[in-house]
Amino acid sequence: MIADQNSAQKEIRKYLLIFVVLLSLTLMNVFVSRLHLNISLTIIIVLSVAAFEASLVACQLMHLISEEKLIYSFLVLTVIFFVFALFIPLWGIFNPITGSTHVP
Amino acid sequence: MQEIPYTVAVRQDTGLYNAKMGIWLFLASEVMLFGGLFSAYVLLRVGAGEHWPLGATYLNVAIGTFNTFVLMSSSITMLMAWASLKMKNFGHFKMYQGITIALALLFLSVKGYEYSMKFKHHHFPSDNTFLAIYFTLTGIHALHIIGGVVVNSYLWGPGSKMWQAEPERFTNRIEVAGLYWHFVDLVWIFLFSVMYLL
Repeated sequence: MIADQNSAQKEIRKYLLIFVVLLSLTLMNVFVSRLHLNISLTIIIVLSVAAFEASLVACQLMHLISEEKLIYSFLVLTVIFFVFALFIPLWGIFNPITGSTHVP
Repeated sequence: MQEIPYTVAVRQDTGLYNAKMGIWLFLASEVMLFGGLFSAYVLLRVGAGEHWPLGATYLNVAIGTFNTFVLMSSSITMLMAWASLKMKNFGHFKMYQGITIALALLFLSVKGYEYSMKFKHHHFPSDNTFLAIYFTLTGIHALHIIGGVVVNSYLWGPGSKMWQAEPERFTNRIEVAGLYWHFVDLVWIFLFSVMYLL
């Protein structure tokens, strides 16, 4: 957080560094996608890098790392519901209604 | 007239001023919105198996990368606008906030160009599930950008008068608008990865 002129300059330097890191990671992701690796490996690498970029944005740019515990508690709840929502459709595929067929 | 409490001072029970509490609750609901859409993407992709096209088949990765840079830059300029207010430099705030809005408009213009090229080549959402989910996800994201532009423009223009009377409250407003803007950037990082690169 910014308390005085000196800490403000430090924060701004930090933001600029994060900006450079984000740009570099994006370019790295584009490069990896162009390597024509095995699709599963590409998905793992690209999504891992994207998740790291997102965590940088959330923790540093949105200051989540120094936020109140209350925010963490309802964000954790949100993540639980998000993961649940993500897997609901897959249950439908792997546990079909008897007699129905799955058409891709 | 009674004033609205906790616009600047933090509440003892939450440790936050009300607007910050509100925006985080709103962002949590936004996570669920985009979570549902990404869930639909996973379902469609898993269901299609090997028939799912590479993003680069339909989309221009160079344009997508450029737009990612534009949005990331706007996220940084938004932070600089907030930091300028913290340093009591209203002139710099005006400059950085103006750049943020300009970058957002550039993002929307590039997105509009991409859409127009798709339509020119007769690629429509009804063609296949890839294009359907692409237009849905990027369209809803673009609507969020438009919403952000409206709010940021108000805070840059008429809303900035508050700086004279209530500087701390105005700084908090910019912080809250910034949190929303970073979230929109965060969503784009995943959107770009799954739609353009995979």
